Amino acid sequence: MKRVLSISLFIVLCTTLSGFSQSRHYNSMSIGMGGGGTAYVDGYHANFINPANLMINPTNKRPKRSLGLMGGVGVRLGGTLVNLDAYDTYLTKGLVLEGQVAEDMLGAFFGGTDLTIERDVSSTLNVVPLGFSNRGKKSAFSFATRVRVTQDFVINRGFAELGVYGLDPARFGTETPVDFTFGAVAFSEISIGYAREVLSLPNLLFAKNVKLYAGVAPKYLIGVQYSTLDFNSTLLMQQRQVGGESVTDRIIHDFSYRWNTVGALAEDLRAFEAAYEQDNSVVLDDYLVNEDQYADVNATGFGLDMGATLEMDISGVPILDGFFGRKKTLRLSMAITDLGSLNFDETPTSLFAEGEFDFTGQGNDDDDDFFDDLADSLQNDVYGQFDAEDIDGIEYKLPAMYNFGASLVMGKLTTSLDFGFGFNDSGTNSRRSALNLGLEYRLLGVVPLRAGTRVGGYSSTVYSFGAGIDLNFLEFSAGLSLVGNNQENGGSIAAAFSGLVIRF
Amino acid sequence: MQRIKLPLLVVLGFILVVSCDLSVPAEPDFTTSHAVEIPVINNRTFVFLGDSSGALIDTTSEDLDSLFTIANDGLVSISTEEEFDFGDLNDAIPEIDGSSTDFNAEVGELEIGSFSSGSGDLGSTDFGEISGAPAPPPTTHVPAGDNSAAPVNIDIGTTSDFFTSATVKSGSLDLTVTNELGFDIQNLAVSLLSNGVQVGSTANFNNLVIGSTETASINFTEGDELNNISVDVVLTWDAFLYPDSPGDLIINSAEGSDLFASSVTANLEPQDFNTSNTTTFSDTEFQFTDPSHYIELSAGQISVTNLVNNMGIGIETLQISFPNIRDDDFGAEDSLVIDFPAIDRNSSAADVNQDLTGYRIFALNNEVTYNIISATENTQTGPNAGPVTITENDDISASVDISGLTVGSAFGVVLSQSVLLGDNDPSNDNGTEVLDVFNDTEADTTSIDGLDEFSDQIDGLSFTNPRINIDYTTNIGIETTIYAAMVGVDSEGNEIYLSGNSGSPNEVVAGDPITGLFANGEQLLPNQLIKFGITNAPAGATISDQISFNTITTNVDDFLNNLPSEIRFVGRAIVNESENVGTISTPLEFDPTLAVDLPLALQTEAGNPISFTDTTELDLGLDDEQDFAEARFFMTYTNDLPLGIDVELAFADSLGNTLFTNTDISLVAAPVDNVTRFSTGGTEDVLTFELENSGGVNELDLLKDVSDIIFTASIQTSGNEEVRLRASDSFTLSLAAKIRLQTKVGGE
Repeated sequence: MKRVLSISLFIVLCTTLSGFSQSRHYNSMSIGMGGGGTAYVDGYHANFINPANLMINPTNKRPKRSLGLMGGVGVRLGGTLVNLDAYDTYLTKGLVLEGQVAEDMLGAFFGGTDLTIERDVSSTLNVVPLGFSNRGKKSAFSFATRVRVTQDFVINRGFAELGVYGLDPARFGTETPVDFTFGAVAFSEISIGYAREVLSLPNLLFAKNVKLYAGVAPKYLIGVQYSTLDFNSTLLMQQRQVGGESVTDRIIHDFSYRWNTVGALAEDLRAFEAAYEQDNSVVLDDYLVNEDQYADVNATGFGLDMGATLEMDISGVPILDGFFGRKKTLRLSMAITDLGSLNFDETPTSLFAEGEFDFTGQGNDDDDDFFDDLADSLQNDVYGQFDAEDIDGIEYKLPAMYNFGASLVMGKLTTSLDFGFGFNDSGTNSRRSALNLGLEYRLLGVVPLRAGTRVGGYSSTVYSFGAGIDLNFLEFSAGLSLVGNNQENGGSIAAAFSGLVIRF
Repeated sequence: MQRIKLPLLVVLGFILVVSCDLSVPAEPDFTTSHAVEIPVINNRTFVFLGDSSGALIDTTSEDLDSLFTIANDGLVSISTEEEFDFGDLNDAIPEIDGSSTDFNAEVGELEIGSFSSGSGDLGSTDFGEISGAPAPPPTTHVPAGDNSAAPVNIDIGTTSDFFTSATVKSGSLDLTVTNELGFDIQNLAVSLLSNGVQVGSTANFNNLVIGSTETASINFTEGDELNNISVDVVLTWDAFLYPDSPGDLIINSAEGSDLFASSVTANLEPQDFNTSNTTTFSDTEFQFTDPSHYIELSAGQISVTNLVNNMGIGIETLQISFPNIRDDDFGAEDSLVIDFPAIDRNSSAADVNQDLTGYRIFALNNEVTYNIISATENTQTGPNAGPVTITENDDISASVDISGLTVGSAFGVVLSQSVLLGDNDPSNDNGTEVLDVFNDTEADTTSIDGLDEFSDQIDGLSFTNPRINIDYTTNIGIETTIYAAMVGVDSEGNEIYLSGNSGSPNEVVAGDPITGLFANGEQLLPNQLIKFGITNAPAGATISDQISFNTITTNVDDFLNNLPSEIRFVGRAIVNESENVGTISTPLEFDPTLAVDLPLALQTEAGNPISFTDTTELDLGLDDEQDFAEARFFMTYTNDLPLGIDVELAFADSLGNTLFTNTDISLVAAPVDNVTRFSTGGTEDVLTFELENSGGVNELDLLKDVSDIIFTASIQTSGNEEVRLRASDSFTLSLAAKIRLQTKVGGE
C-alpha cells in the first residue's frame, strides 16, 4: 500500500508542475464555499479538516457510511507572482515589453524597483484515492488516504529583469542580484479517524439538543521526495568604448547554489559528482540511472488532526423562517490540523556550488568549437560542477493550522464561516489569518449550488463557486475558486472534484 | 413566500456573481524584446597558418594538412603532391620471338666390337686335321712342312654369337689364337671367309711357340661383306718330335678393332652418336651484340616434340643441351640440359616442355646452339640382347621450339621504342594510334587538393614563382625521353598548356616524335607540349629523382596562375633513342607524383583584386513571430597581413534571390618591407557594421528569409605591389554584437 501510494504520488509530482496547493484540506464542497469547511465537511474528508465532524449529518438525510473511490481531487495555484491584474494590463494588450512598459510591468508584478523584491508561485495537489467513514449514534470512525504534492518557486526582480530585458547592459551594468529558489515536497498519508459524542444537553439557552463531538485522526506519513534549490547570483555586464560607442566586452555571473535532496536521486547525483572529480568529461545524464527508484520511500513520520464540534438545534430562533423553514442547525467547530513532521533521512544530501562564469568571448585559448561547446561547457564545467556533502535528515513540518468554523443549516440553505491561520510558513501555509464565508443551497434537495469567498491568507480575496448532484447516497460535484483583486497579495486559482462518493 | 423563494434565490445569486471583481485571465498578447549584447571574439589572434586553435588557415585539417610548406625565412608555399598515373611504360620492354627448328641425329658409322659373348673359344683344330693324316705316336719325328695345300677351315660363325653379318666401312678384325698343338708353329696364316670366300687380308702369326697366345689382324676394305664367317688356317712348321700330349690350335676370339660398318646385324654394344643445331631469335627490338648480352625470362618454354626413334635399335640415353640457356648463376655449368628416358626401337617419345622462367639466354647474334647426345641400347646383354640390324643412316628426329618468351630483364641493345602513355581509345585512332588529351579514356586527369577549391573561389591571383615537380622512382636503366601534353583547366574551362621555354631542355621542337598527341581531334603543336627526360637507373637498382618545371624553363607561372582545377596528361615515351647498350627490367617502374609548389609571393593589379567567393548556409531558426529589432557588430582589428580585404555579404533567400547586401566591411592591408616584401605590421582599426532599415529595405525583417550568405572578398596586395606571406603573419580581432530580438506571443 505504501509503495502504491508512493508511486502514484511521484507520478503526480512529476506531471502536475502547474498544480497548486493550499494548506487546508478542501473538497468540492468546501472549495465551492470559499475554502473553509471546519464546521460542515463530513465523512472521510473530515479526517483532514475536523475529525469531530465524523459525527455530523449535514443534511440530516445522509446515510451513515461513505465510500470514496478516487474520492476527491483538488488543485490550487497561487502566490504573489500570480498577479492577474498585472497580467491583464501588460500581457494581453499587444504591448512591446521594452522601455517604460517593461519597467512598469515589473513594478506591477513586484511592487517596487528594488531588485531584491521576491515574488512566488506555489501549488498544492491533493488527491484522496480512497476514503471510508461510518457514523454511529455515539461514535464514528473513518479511514482515508491522501496524496499531497507541494511546490514553491520564488524569484527576485533581478531574475525577472533578466527574463524581460535579456542581456542588456543598461540593466546589468552594475552588479545585479539574480536569485531564485525552488522547493518541492511530495508525501502521502494514511489516516484513521475516530470521533464520539462527548456531551449531550437537551436544552441550552435558546438551543435544544446540544451535542459536543470530539474527534481525532492520527495519520501515518510516507515521504517520497523533498528537494529545495536555492540559487543566488549577481550578474554584471562590463563595457568599453569602441568607435565612440559603449560595447559589452565582459559578462560576469557570480553564483552559488545549494540543492538539498534525498533518496536515489541524491545517490545518482553523488555518483556523478564523484565521477566528475576523476574525469570532468562525464555527463550528468549518464548517471541518472535509478529513475525507477526516485519514487521510493525516503521518509516516514506521524501526524495528527483533531477537532471539536458543538452542534445544536436553534429552530427556535426566528431567522427567515418563512423563507427556509423553521428547522435550523448551528455548528461551531475548531480544529488543529497537520500536526507532525516528516524526516527525509534516506541519503540526505546537499549539493552546492560556488563559482563565476566570466565570459569575454572566444579568445586565443579557445578552439574553433568554442561556441558549439559553450552550452555543454556551462552545464558541465561551470554551473554543473558541484560538490556534495552529507546532511542531517531533512525535516519537513506539516503545514499546521488552527481553524475555527461555524455553519448554520436552514433547510436547504447552509451558510458557513471559517477563520484560521497557520502555525508556520511551510509550503503555501501562511501565518496570515484567513476568513472564509460560504453559502450552499440545495436546489430541489439534490443540486447543491455553492458560493463563497476568502479574505486573507496567502493571496488576495478569493471568490468561489460550486455545483453538482448530491443524492445523499451518491455525490458528484465540483468547485472552483478564483482570486478577485490580486494586485496586493497575489492571486490564486483552485479547483476540486468530489470524485465518486457512495453513501449507504 | 414559498412561491418567490426560488426566483429570489436566483436573483440573489446573479447579483452575487456580477458584483464580484473577478479576474478571469484573458488570452496573452504581448511582444518580448530581448537584448543580446555580448562579446563574441576577444582580442583573438589568427595567424595565417596554424592549427585549429587559431589560424586563418587550419593546416591540421584533413584537406590542408599537407598543402602548405614554410621556408626558413617564413615564406609560405602551397605545396601538394598528387598521385599521377603516368601511363604504362612496360610497352617499352622489347619483345623477342624464338623459333622452331627440326633436327635429325643419325647413328653414323657402326662400330663392331666383340664377335662373341666370350663364353668360349671360337673354334680349334689339331695336327691330324692339319696334316690330313692320323696323328703319329709320341716322339715320332715329324719333318718340317705345312698344310698350304689343304688349309683347315674352322667355322667361327657359329660361335661368334654377337655377330651375324655386316657391311664393313673400315677397320680390322683382331683374331687371337693359342698354340697348344705341342710343337712350335713357324707361321700361321688365318684367312676370313664370308660365305666361303675370303674377305679382308690374312692374319699372320710368326713363331707361334708352344703354349703361346698371339693376336693378329685382318684388315677390311669398305664394302667387304661379312656373312657366315669362317677361317682357313694354314700352318708352316719346322721338324719336331710329336709330343706325348698333343693339343689343338685354338681360335680364341675375334674382336673388331676400329671396325666400323655401314650396316650391321649383330649383337651391338651401345652406339654413341651426337649432333648440334641452332635456333634463332628475332632481332627487331633487341639485339645480342656481345657474348655478355642476355635476356632474362619471366616466362617462356622450350618444347621438344615429335621425337621419333627411326632405328631398329632402342635409344638408351638421349640428352639435348643448350649451352647458352642458363639458370642459377648463369655460368656455363648452369646450362639447360634436357634428358629423355629410353626410347624403344622404331617408336616415338613423349613431348617435353621445359619452363624457361628465370633462365637467361645468351644469344650472341640472336641465335643459340643446342646439342643432341644419344646412345643406343646394348643388345649384347640385357633384356633386349640379340642381333639387330642397323645402318649408319638410321636416325632419331625431333622438333625444338622456343616460344612464349617474356622478357623480365635484358642487357644489350634495346632498339628505339615509342610508347604512348595513356589508355588508348581505339575509337579515335582512325588507322593510327593517337592519344587525345581531352579524351577521358586516354588522358590521365589529376585534381590538386586545395588548388581546385581555390580555383572555384578565387580569381585574379598571380603567383610570381610557382613550380611543378614530378618526383619519381624508377628502375629504367636506359635513356627515356617523354614528350607530353599537360593542360591545366580552371573551373571556368580556361586551358593553359605547359610548355618549355625557347632554348630550354623542356622545349619541344618541330621534328620531335610528337605525332599522335592530339587535343580535341587535332594534332598538338610543339609549343603546346613539354619534353623531359628520365634519369637512368643503375642495373637492378631503383632510384628516385625529380623533374622540375620552373619559370626559367617553362611557362609554369601561366599554367598555375590559371589555378587549374584539373590537369590532363597524355604523352609519348621514346625509349633508347640512341640505341645504346643498356639494361631494362620488368616491370618498368616509373612511379611519379605531381608536386605543385606555389610560394605565396603574389601581386594584384590595381582594379583587379583577388576575388574570393564562398557561400554559407544560414538558418536562424526564427519563427514568424520573431523579428530582429537591432543587429549591430563592432569589430576592432589589427591586420598584419599584407593583404587588404573588402568584403561584400550578399544575403539570399532559398531561391537564390539576393535580399540585400552589406559592403561595410573593409580591412586595411599592412605595409610591406621594400626588400623582403614581407609585412612590417599593421595598426589597430575599428569597424562597425549593422543591418538596418533604410532605402525601403528592412534588412532586419528580411533576415528571417535568408537561406544563404554569399561571401565575396576582394583582396588587394599592399599597394598592389608584390607581397610575400609568412605563416606567422596574423590578424587580431575583437568582435562584439548588439542584437535585439522581438518575439510576438499570442495576439493576432
